[in-house]
Amino acid sequence: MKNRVVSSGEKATSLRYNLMELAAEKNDVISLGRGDPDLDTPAEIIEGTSRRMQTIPSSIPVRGLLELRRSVANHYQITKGLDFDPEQEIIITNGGQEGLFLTMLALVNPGDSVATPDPRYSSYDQAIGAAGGSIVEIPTGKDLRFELDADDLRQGIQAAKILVLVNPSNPTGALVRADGVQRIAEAARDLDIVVVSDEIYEEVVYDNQRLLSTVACEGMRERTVTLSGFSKAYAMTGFRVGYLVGDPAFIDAVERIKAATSGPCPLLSQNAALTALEEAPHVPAEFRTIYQRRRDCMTAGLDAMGISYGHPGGGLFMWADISPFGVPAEEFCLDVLRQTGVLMFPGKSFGQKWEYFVRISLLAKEAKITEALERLGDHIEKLRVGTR
Amino acid sequence: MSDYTASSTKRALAQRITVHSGTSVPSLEIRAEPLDAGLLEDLRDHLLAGETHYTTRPGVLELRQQLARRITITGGPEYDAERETIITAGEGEALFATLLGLDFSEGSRVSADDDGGRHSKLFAILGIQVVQPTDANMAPPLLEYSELATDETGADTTGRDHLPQESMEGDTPYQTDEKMKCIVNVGSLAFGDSTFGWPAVDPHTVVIGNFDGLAGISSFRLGYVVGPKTLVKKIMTWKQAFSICTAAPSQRAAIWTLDQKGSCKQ
Repeated sequence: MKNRVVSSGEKATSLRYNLMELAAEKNDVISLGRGDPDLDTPAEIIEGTSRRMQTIPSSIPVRGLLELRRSVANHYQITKGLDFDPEQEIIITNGGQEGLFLTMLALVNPGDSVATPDPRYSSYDQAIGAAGGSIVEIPTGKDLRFELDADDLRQGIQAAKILVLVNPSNPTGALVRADGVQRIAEAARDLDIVVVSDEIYEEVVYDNQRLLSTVACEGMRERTVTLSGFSKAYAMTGFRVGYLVGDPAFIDAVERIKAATSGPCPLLSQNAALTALEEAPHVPAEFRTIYQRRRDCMTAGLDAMGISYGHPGGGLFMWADISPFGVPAEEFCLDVLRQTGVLMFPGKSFGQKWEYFVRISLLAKEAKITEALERLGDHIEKLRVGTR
Repeated sequence: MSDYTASSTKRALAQRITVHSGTSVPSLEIRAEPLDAGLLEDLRDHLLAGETHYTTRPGVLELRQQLARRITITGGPEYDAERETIITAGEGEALFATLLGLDFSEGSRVSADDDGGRHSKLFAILGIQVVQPTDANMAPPLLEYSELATDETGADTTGRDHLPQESMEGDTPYQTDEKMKCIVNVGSLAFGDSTFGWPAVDPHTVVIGNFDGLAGISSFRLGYVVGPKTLVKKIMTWKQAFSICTAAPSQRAAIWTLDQKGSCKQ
C-alpha cells in the first residue's frame, strides 16, 4: 500500500505559513513574503464581471466556459502566434495551483520521477507526492545563476519522465531566455520527456525581454503542457482562475480528474477572467512597469547592503544569499520579522539545501520596499557589528 | 493545429486516468435564474473594496462561523469555527482533501454507502477500492466512507468496530494509523434537505458537505469540511496544496446569502 504523503513539501509550506501567522499577530509589518500581489484587481475588471453576472447559464462545463477558453486561445494567437483549439486543448482550473496538481495526477504514475529545478516552489512536492511520484532535483545556482540549464538537465534527469520548467522562476526570479528555452526543448526531445511549462509569471518579464513559451519551440507541441493563469498578471489571486493548454488526450484526462475532485470553477471567477482578457488586456504591461521599478529599487538596496542575489529577469521575487551573516535563513527570517517587522521566507521553504538564502517578494509599494530595506539594513549592521 | 496522434504527452498519461475513460463528463447543471440584485451589488462593493486577494487557507472566518452555526441549528454537532472548519471548492474538493489528509493510501479499501454514486470516480482515480457495506447505516442522501481494516483472523471489518472506546472521548491527538478513518458526507443538509436529520457523529469523524441548499449559490461552487482540529489541520495542508484557498467572491456570496436571506431551497 503506497502512502502519498510527502513530508518535505508539507514542511516547506508550513515554514512559510508559520511565519505568516506570526506576522499577522504583529503591527506595522511590511510583508515581502507571500506571492499575493498587493495591487488590487482593476475596477474595470470588477465592473465588467458584475455586468456579465447578470446572465446565468443553465450549466457550467467542467472544462470552463467555452467563451473563456476561446478567449485564452485568442490570447495565445495574438501574443505567441500559436493556434489552440479551445474545445479540445484548453481547460480552466481553480488557479495555477490546481492546474499543477491536476497535471501531476494526470501524468505521474506511482514510482515515476519528475525533474524539477532546485530551488523550486514546494507545492510541486505535494502534488507529485500525491500522485505517488518522486522528485529528481536539477541543480541551479552555480555562481548565482539560477536559470535552468540544458546541460545540467541532460546530466541530472536520469530516468525522469517529466520536467517541470518554471519560467520565470519562483523563488529565484531567474528567466530562461529564448536560446536557453530552445536548448531545453532540444534536450527534452532527445531525452523523450514531457515538459510541464509553468508560465504563471509570463507577463512579468523585465528589461524588454519576452518569454519564449516552451510549446512554441520546434517539435514541442506534442510534449508540452503549459500552465498559466490570471492571479499574477491581473492581481486576481482571490478569484482562483488558471488554465492548462495541452494535448487533447491530456486535457480530456484532466477534465475527468477535475470532475471528480472539484468540478468547474466558479462562474463569477470565470467571468472575471474573461473580462480581464477581453476588456483589460493593457493591465499586465502596466503592472509590469510597476514591478520592474520595485525590482530596481530592491536590487539597488541589496547592492548597497552588499547582499548577493540571483538576477531577477522576471517574476515577483528576489533570491538573496545571506550566508555572510552566518545565520541560517529560518532563524534570520524569524529574527528579522520579530525585530524589524519585515516578512521574508527562508530558503529551505524551497529546497533543503538553501539554508542560507531568503526569498523576498516585490509585492509592496516602492515606499514600503524602501522602508523594509532600511529596516533590514539596520538589522544587518547589528549582525555585522556582532561578528566583528 | 498539429496532429497529436500518439503524442508524447498522450503516451505519458498516468494509468489512473484510464478509469472511466471514454465516458463523457457532464456539465454542472445550475439554476439559470438571475442572481439577486442585492447579492451582485454586495459582491461588487466587496471586490471594489479590495476583497480580490487570497483568503486564509481555511476560508473567511465570518463564513466559517455561519457554517458552524448552521450545523448546530440543523441538529448537528458543535464545531469551533476557527479550528475545526474549512471552506472548499465544492463537496468534491472537500472529500479529495480529506482522503489525502487522512492518508487514505493507494490500494486501501473503503466501505461506502455511495452506491456507484457521485464520488465513485474520485475513489477510483485515487486507487481506493470501494466495498458496499453489508449493513448500511446511513439514510440517503447521507453517505459514509470508512476505511476497511483487517482483523487478526484476516476477515474484513468495518472500521467502527475497530475504534477503541477511549479514542471516542477527550481531545487527544488523532493518530490516523491507529484508529479507523471515517468520513460522513451530509451533502446539503446544513443548508437544505431538512427532511433528513443529522446522523450521530462521533468526535473523530470528519464531516463533509456543500452549500448547494442555499438558493442561488450553486454556481459559486462551495463545500466544506468540519471535524476535530487535529484532523482538520492535516486536511487543510492538502486543501492548500490543491488550490491554496477557495475563491474569495464565492465565500462572500455565501455570507451575503446567509446574512440577508437565510432562505433554503426546499
